Amino acid sequence: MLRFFLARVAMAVPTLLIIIALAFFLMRLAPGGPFDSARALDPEIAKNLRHIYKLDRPLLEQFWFYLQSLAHGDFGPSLHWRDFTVNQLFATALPISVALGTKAMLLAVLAGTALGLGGAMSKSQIGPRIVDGAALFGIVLPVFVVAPLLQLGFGLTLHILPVGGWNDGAWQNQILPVITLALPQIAIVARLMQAALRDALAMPHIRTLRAFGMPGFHIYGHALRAAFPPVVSYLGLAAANVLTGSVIVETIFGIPGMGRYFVDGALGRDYTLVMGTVVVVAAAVLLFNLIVDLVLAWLDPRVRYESRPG
Amino acid sequence: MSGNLRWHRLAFQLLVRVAAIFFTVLGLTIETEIGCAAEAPALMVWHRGELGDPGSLDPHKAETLIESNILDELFEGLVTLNARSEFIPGVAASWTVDPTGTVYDFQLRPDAKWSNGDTLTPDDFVFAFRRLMAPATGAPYANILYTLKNAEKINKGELPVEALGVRGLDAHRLEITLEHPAPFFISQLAHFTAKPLHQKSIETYGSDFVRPEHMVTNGPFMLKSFTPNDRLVLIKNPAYYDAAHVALDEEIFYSLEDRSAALRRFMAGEIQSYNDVPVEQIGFVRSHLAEAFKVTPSLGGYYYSFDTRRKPFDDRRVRQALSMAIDREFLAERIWGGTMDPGYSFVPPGIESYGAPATVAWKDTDLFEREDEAKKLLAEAGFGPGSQKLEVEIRFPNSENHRATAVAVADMWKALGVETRLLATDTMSHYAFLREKPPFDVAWWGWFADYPDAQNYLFLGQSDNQGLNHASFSNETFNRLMQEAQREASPERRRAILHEAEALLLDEQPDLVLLTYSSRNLVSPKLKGWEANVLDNHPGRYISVVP
Amino acid sequence: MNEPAPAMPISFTAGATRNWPLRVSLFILGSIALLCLIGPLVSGHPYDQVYRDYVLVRPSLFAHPDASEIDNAIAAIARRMHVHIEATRDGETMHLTLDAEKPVDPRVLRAFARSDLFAPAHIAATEDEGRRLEIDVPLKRMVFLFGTDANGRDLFTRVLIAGRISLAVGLLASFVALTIGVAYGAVAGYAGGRIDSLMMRAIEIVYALPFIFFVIVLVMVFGRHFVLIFVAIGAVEWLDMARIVRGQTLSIKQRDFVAAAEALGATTPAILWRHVIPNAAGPIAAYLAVLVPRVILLESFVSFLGLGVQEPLTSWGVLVADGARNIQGSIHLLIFPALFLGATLGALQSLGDGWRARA
Repeated sequence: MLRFFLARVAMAVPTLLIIIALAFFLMRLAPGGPFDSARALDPEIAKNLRHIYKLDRPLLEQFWFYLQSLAHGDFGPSLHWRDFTVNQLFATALPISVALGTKAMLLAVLAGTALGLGGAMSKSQIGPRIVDGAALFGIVLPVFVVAPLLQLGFGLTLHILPVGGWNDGAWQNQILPVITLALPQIAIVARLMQAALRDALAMPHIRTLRAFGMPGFHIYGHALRAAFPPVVSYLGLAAANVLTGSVIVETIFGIPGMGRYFVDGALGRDYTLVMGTVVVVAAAVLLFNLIVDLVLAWLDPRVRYESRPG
Repeated sequence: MSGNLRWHRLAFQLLVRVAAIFFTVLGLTIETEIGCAAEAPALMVWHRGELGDPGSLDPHKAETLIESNILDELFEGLVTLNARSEFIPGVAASWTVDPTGTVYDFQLRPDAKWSNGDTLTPDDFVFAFRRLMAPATGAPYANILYTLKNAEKINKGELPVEALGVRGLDAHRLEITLEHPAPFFISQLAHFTAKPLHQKSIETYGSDFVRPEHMVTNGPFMLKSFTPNDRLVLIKNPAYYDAAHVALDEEIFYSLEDRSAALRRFMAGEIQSYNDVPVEQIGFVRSHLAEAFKVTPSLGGYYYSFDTRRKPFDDRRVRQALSMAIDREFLAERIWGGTMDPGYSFVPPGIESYGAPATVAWKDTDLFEREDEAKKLLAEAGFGPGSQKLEVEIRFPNSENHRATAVAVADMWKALGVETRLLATDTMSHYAFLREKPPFDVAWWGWFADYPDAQNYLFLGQSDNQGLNHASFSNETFNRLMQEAQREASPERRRAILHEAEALLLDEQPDLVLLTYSSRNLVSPKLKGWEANVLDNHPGRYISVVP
Repeated sequence: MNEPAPAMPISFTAGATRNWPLRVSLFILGSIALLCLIGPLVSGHPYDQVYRDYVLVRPSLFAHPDASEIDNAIAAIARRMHVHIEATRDGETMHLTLDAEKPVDPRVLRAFARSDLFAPAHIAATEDEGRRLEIDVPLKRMVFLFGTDANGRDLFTRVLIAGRISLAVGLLASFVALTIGVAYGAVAGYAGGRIDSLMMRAIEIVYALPFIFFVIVLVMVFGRHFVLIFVAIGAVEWLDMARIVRGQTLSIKQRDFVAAAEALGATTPAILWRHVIPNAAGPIAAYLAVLVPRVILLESFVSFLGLGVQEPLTSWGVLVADGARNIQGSIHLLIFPALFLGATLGALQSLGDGWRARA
């Protein structure tokens, strides 16, 4: 197990390097640069600016500079928020995105499990049908439709929640964004959990436990344990989906998170910001997938990680 | 049956426990904001929605209107704007001009101070202007103040900064020398490039002088905090010479790009003003927020530029024909919900020193007549039924309402037998395209004046204007007229020359003027001192909030 | 990386017609597809036809123009042509009397012809040296089932055209993902050992690349070429397909018929094509049914950012994104495209479930 863990960590470094290179050169493909704006600059001034930011050097040289500063943990200055370095921008945005994302995932797992359990426990056919149907809604409605509707409903019509803003993390301001982010995931987790539970409940060892007269709670406990792997596997993908959703949620609710830096950076050609976001997100995804695999191994002792015989 | 009930009870218990855990987890992150808000003394705060974040709070790195709005609150130049966007003395209490019109003598207010108590001296302006023109600073809009003597040469590295025509005469007098007379110079001094800077801060902290803990300002407000993508908080500057009349304690700028979301926040009362309105919802806003919705003509033009370098757009007849056939009233009223005005002149109306601008010859002709005339022109140029079909591609950014406008224009050109293709790109790509200028047919662009003078529009047609003459228009007579105007000292003669230049530009139509912008604002009735004006300038100095 | 235990190969047609949700899903999908293919041809409106007089009209089963629209239009024409108009209605024709101080410009007829409310008019009588005209103007009847958009285009037709694009994007991008994914996964699984490890490592690397960024950049670079959007989206979604196929291949290649084929000297491509892939078809098809909705949603996300398909074409993503900006005001712009989008995605999802349940 330890070898597996170390091997994965060792793999992460070249993986990240390749990703950085890919992102770096891809970004340069897009037409335009960070200094293009509504009011075109005097060409001489534009040239001067590019020189100051070293954007007139050959690409490979720029890439090398970037790697060097990365090695010192310095993501460089932002080209869009010119008073800040990318590190400073992340220092505020990353905790916010992590907080929101974690709460959304937590809500997704808890609510999804509860719903899936409910559906699986129901003796009739209607229970699972309702869960499936409701879940369909969650999956099918895009985030940028759900967010405004929630704002209108809870904010403007009922006046019980703020319409937007971060307000330094006040809990009232977190409710709607977290729910919006979590909804599609709740739906998917609910369906996955329900299906997996039904399969698990039909498994021989569970039926044996029932035959022995174990109390219901214990049985469901065992069933849950058997049903978790597909849900846990899905969580890796869920994290990526939450990231996509967070872009829109952050824009509509006005939350200073990492998601917006992605899009603002790419659309605004803020090279350093985009690179920084790519690196951080890629590292996070690799880390998250590693955790997921570890959890899977802990849940199901049958899983092994040796290389398969060819 | 009873077994079933037991499971349901268990499920219910499980759900309750799950809910309890969840809310506890959420509760663990409770901040007692509500409690604090109720106890804090009632501050007068203006919650001001903006279209985005400032790219920089360094006046020498600023570029956009957003930065202009914020910098106007933090810094005050020699001249400033009042609530009606009239130019009034700022740090300079009075000034005189010499007979040649090139040497200005400014007398600074004796009570002008920085927020840390230091007196504001002419050296602060000298330092600032020199830093603006120094090539190492890389100021994007240094060229606005190329009116200053030697400024252009210094900015291009040909002269040292000490050669700049700005010097302090004594503790309260500043002398500025210009390259040639410029009647609009005074209005330029209100621009953010002309703000003073606190020399000691910059020398001590370098580019970090803009951080809230280091920033020293001389305007009505100081910087308290700036969180990107969230908000920027300003607090009243007690050292400001007119602080006694500043009612606001705080001014908070909220960065809101999504206009629909901003509308909802305005309706919830979370912001008290916003400087745009989603065009799609104008109808709704007019009916439900009539009191708050303010539309004012402003000094911005909405243009479609032709690439006059290539056929057939080098033919004046083709350009005129395409321009004539457009129903600008329809665009202004139905597509833009009345938040734009039809554009028949190159210089938007509303510039006092210029008066009523020139208009196209066919302004009052009925649309059908114009269409007939346009078809004739196109036929003369070789397009029409029986001969070649004219194909046009319109390029525009995918923001705002450009798509709907382009669709409408394409439909109008269909009546002439012209086939139109539309190409939308993301905003940056569009600006990059305009800068690089590969061959195109028609490209959108919008232009807002840096300062209210006709020259700031007409210079777009000068052939030596590298960056902004998107149509690549090159006309000897026009260039000559513009140069004459630049040297003309008499305001009346200058105005006449500029009118003549504008008439020429309209006759040639290298840029098709579709519309002139109006500023669209949502303003809560609780905000007092907010006045609609053509520059869409609303200094916090005059604002107060009714509880 | 660990995979869920490979499912038994399933036949995806067996029992399809007996399964109730499956039937409903197929019916919905079939109807929508048919509607999108044929609808625009028979809706009575070209999808790019601009009706300047019918901007942001509400959905209605009743034909336009209604009484107030007629009155407003006639008043507007009167103002514009500087004439005074008295109007009486006679069934589907308006009888108008035009009075002016100077002889009326006969071009006034063009105003009626150009209007979307009226068919070409003819002069019934001229009096007073042309200062008074009697004109017959037939009404042009039009139905806007779903209303019109901000340019005055029929929303019903546009939703159907958008459906063509969205479904095309969904299918084509999924096809791209399918082709790349199946090829990659089958090769990796069959080759096994070092090659397999290397190929899966490569997938992990691409997996960690934030795909939204990747799609945005690709669309920015290739935006004007519609087909390349499919390719961009497909290129991002093939990863899971590859993993599933690889898992399937790993188990299938242990089976007897594969060993037999190898013993008989069949080439690797032939084995992959004739034995491995057909037996993996079940999970592939099931995943495909989940992939198409994902692709369509990703396309809608890209459209929300303004990077979607070019005018005059449109997609459900573009329409829903525009509609979401019109909730307070013209909510019909949101409801109809969202209904179609939702129904299609839901049906596809159910379809996928149905096939997966065939185990």
